[in-house]
Amino acid sequence: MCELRGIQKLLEKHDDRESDPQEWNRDRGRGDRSRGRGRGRGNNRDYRPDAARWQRGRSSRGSRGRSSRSNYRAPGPRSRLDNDDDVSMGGDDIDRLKGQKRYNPYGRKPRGGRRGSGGRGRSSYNNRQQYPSSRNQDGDDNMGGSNSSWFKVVIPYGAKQSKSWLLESIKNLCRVPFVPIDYHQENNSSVFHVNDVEASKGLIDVSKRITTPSNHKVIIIVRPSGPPRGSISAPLSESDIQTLTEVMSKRYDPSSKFLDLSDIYNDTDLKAKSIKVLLNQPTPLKAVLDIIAQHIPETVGLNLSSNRIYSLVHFSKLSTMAPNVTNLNLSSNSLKHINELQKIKDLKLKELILDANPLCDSFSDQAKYVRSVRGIFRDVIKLDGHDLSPQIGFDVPTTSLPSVGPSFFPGQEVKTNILQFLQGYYTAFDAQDRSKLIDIYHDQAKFSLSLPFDYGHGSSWYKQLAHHFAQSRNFKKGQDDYKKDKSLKLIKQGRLAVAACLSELPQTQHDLNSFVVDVSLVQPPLVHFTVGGVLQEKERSKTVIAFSRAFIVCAGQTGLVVLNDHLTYRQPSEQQKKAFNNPAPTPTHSPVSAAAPGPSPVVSPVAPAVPDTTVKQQMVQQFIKDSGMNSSFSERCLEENGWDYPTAGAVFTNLKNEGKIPPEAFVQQS
Amino acid sequence: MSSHSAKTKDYILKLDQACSAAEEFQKLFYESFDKRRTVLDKLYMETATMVWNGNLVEGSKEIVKFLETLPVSEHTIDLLDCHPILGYDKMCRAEVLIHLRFLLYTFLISFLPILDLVFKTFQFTAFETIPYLYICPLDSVTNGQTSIMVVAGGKVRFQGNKTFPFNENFVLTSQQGKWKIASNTFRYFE
Repeated sequence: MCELRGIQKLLEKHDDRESDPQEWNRDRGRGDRSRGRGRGRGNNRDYRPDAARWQRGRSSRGSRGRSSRSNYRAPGPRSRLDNDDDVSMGGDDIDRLKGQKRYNPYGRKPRGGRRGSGGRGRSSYNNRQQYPSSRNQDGDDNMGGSNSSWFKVVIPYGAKQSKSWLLESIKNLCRVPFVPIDYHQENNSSVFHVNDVEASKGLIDVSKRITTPSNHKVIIIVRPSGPPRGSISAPLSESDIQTLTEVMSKRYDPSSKFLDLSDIYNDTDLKAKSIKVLLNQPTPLKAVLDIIAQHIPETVGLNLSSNRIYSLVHFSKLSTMAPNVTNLNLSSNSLKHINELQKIKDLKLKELILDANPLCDSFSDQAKYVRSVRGIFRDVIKLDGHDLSPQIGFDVPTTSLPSVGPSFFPGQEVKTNILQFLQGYYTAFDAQDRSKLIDIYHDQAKFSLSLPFDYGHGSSWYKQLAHHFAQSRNFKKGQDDYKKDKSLKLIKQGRLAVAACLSELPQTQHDLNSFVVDVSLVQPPLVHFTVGGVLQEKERSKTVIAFSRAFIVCAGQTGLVVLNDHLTYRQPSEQQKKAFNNPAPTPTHSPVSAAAPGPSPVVSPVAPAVPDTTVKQQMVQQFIKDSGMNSSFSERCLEENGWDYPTAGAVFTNLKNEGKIPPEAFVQQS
Repeated sequence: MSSHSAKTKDYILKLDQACSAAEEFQKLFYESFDKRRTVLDKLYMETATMVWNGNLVEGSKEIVKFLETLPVSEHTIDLLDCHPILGYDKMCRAEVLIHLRFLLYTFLISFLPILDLVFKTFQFTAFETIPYLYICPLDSVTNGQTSIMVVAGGKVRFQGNKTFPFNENFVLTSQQGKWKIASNTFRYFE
């Protein structure tokens, strides 16, 4: 504690240190001395088992961290001895505790026989360091260890017994009366808290002395802990927040924009009103951060020292709530790993104090420590009060990616043509019957479908496209000749083969809103373009598939004719999946009705050209000649098929073959 | 019939050649892209066009200049396919024929299911010969301008950026016995 006070003093001297690093070392010396004195006198606190343990852990960490940085002393066996000296400075009291209570206050047997009497202290300490995370869970690092004596009592398989029976049995056997607080069940265990040292000892004695009706011994595990969570995490009331705001405003220095939240748990004003502000608990922390965001977002400096913070995960919002923080003091907390700082890496820190945190122990030398911190906060120029040489960067032009643009068309005319083509194409493609597509393909058109070759590695998403694997033409599938040969033949060549293949693909629904078109080559009569977007297969409506389609088309007299068509299916990004939440209206069989609704950013609603009356007349005349039907039936047939001559022709042929056209259709009107 | 099967053989040969070219090209292109971007200009035609995520770049010099400004990259290719593209001259002839054969097609549509069955029964040879018999007496990709379309896909990570899946398309045209990129589109899947 005295050591902390030393640091506190240092903080007050903050401004002096800035100008003179020498001064810093002197201060440190003073801090050491004061700490030494405190120890020598023997601390006036009562030595509860947990308190002693806590104290010891702290002092040894603190001194190691310091020795490795301020004195630049190489670590080694010697420094470990120093630690042991530190502990023994505590006097006989601590030694007694060490021997008696420290190692068995929790009802646990010492594990294994390797701990000799001499090495017990260290190995226990090492164990503690090795598994810090499990300790966090238990609330071991919560505030309160040194201020109150909370113990967590765990009864494995206690959930199998009724609460009243269990508590009654324990109370009968326990020599010390106790009050169970926050009784609840975790998995199979019953858990409650007591805040009395004597009761905790009494409870340990009861362990294995109660027998359940099912003939099992009841084991009771007692561990020192923070206050029960339920009681701390309760949201602060309005008046509490009011008080907290007042306390914080007292602790804020508007001229330097510095907010001092050090050891706020023990703030006298807050204690007077018994408001518990634990910055390692999300609820009070949120209250504090909200106050900062609301009242003092301009804060530049923040002192969070001595708050037993073991995780910075809830501080990640700090960078948005107080974006100007450049000076942060996290000293005397319980941060165990340097990576904790990654969670607040968005802060543009210039000064940082991490002294007296367990994480300092993990660095064998100063250079490594500085490097690690600078790896996270590049601009730190002052670390633990030391001036660091300013980072010298390189004059590299910052290479950033050009932004991803929207669809690209080389000209308005090309745009209109291609959008019209795509609108028609995908309307026909999403229709029940894809036979119309045959007219869009060239005699020697080529089509193939590819899926990326990583479905073999257990990507579960691609299993949903298993029905396409056999058709996937991908030369990355395999290097051997057999597979190559197989892939080679998967290309569909010729209009009929292509049309047959397309009509075999599962029914689809394309999201026209998602379409992105890039036209990269217009060299009449050739146009090369790609279209990307998302689609769903109607049978598997939950699966969104991202596709990219490359077309090489030839501008002919009847419109665009497809020479090459390559389709790629791929797993969509999260964004693409969401895009399908707002799909384009369902295209219907007729392209005319589909084109009317659904404005899309890419494929603007270009209605397929409905010819004017004279052209219509010509088409009707032609149709009469070709089909042999009379004019009214011919006109009806064309109209029903959206004045699409080939379609109408196809429909007519179909109907005629099926014998569904009434004979009067062929009766020529006079 | 013999002439048709000869054509089929020839066609497969061409297909195979095109795919070998595509494989070689993919290796060369992405290795150069990741390691030696300066040599990429040799792969582009002088008049080549590229659309990179919606940004147009024209001319081999400009393209390489553009590519060199991109951060260090790492491509992983998991998809490669290629198609031969019909020569221009044949295409134009075929255009005329399309009109003449319109009625024949509409007739054929009604037989699609049957043709389907035929395809399945005779597999590949039937695939190739039937269209020839009925429709198209044209040669496969031959003299004149030989072009292929290459489709590559995979994941790319530009330094300082996330990894993105992408798709890239090339039209390669042979010029004096060397393949050159005439047109190139690149797009993230995002």
